Amino acid sequence: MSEQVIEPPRPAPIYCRRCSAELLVRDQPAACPACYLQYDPAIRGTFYSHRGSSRWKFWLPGFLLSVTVGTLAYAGCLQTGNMGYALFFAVPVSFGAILGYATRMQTWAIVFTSILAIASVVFALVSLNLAGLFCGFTLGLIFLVPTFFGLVCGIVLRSVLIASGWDHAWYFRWYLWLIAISPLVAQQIETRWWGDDEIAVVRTGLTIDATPEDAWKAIMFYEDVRHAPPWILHLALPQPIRSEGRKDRPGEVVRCFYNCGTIDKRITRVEPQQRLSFDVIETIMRSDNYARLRDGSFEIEPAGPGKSRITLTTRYERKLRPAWIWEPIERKVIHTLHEHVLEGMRRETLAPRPDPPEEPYQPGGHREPKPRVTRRGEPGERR
Amino acid sequence: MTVTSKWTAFLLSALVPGAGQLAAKSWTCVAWFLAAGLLAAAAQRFGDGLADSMWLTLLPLVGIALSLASGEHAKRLLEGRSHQPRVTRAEVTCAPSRGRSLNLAIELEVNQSAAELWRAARDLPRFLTLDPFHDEITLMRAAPAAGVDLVLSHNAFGRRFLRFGRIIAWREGAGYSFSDLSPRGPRVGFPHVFVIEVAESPPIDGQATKSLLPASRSRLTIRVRGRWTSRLVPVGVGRLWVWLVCREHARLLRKGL
Repeated sequence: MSEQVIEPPRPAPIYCRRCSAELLVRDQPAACPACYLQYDPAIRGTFYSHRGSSRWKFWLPGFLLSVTVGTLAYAGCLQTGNMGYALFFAVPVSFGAILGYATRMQTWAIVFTSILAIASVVFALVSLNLAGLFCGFTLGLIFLVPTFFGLVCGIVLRSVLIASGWDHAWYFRWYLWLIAISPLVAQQIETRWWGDDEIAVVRTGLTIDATPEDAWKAIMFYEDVRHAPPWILHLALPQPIRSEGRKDRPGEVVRCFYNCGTIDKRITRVEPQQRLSFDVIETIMRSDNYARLRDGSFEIEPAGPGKSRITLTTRYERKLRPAWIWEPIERKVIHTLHEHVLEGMRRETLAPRPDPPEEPYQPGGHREPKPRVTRRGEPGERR
Repeated sequence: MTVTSKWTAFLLSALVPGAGQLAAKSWTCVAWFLAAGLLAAAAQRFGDGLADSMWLTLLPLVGIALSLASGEHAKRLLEGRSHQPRVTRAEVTCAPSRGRSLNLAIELEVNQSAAELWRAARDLPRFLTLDPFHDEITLMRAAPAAGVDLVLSHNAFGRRFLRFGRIIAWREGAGYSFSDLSPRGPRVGFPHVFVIEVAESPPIDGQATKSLLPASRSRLTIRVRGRWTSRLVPVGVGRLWVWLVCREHARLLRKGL
């Protein structure tokens, strides 16, 4: 009968604190065979129980999972067309919670990683064309607080589960799924229960040194302004190219071309030197998901000798919630747009009017003088 | 229970004034939150009215100053503090040195006998963490002696990293010296040596013969000698930086000894 030889269990390996080489002498103080750093197997802090290079396991899988869940949850929520609390709060709370739950790091590292996760999610959304550059930047700022809240929730959940002695690995799987799908559930609830979109009105005025007649002649849409727009409009709005159509009669349709679509505006009211109103009848652009333009107007009133007060009004359907976050941003963008247009009008009133081309000399001939027609004749004549 | 690191508190308060104080479990967080809230409310309330004025430019600077002050306060809340501070005088001197070498000294007068001061100084894991950046000291043998390696865990502005050293000399009751080197090698990453000396304070003139009791005052000298190796930062800036760090070191010793 053969005797079975039982080998004693191999002790867990230990590694050098400087070079992570495996330390072989286990029964007395010694030095690392690679870098000669001393260690003492009897003193816990003088060696590592894991290799230094294996630390990525503590954060990389959780980080990647968090970014993937954040991007997919945002894309999933966006499909319903409803952009509210689920999209801007539940999504960052969800991926923040996954990050807090699935990573183990020092405090500063986890704060840094969460900022990196936000940046990665935003970068992924912009790359997938699910958000523009300006929206992505704003999104990053809005995500900060809910992500940190989720992060704390994730850390607390992990600590509670570990302290209560539950099987961490088992719950790791199920809790993650639950956290990952929570924004989609929240989105469904919000879509069903939330009321209609609200209408917002933004008005901006400017007093210029021009008579109401000159101000009327200078009326132009955003697409007609020649000077460069401020950076915020560059980032927040599509780039205007040109407009086609007249705006001197009610019922005329002006088509405005942008780098990513068009907007059709129908002139509804023309009161020379007083008011020009229009309705937006069709928008073919992605920005329609964030705010749907309804109508707008230019109002001109005399403001003293040689001065006019021009007021631009834009009415739009608000699509983004909560209003306390988005409305100030929307107002800022629209005010900037109004100011840009008003500045364009002001410059137009100051610009010298081109004289009509001089007729060639015709000896002996006598011609009736032509009526002086300039490109300023009608607002709709402007290119 | 995890102890919040002082740099974590600093970073928290630098981001949100008061958050570090909250992490340090201090009620002063309320005052900082209030100050930050008031500043934010004032910026919101008067921001439009201050357009194009100098105050609008100053407002972010005030915010940054508030954050940094709050961060520093939170950090100090978590620093080790002795119940009965004994340091009566602290001085940092920078000896003239040539090239890239640095030679600074911190001198402290302590109301304690040299034997008591030595007992404090030979407790390396505690004494060496009375330092702006030393976070944890691991002695690679059971007792300190010349030739024993050290692992010096540093924490600078929240970033932890290890440096390695060795006790170069050990004179029981009088002092010791050790190196603090980068893991990349002894010629890079600001290699330096600490020399710690404990001595009886020289008697004040005329008092030498007045008392036969053992002196209850002693002097602690910490010399930092090293080489500024960075090519990106000029050596003059490096000297200034190390001098500032030594001043902070002296402050911590005043507080913690």
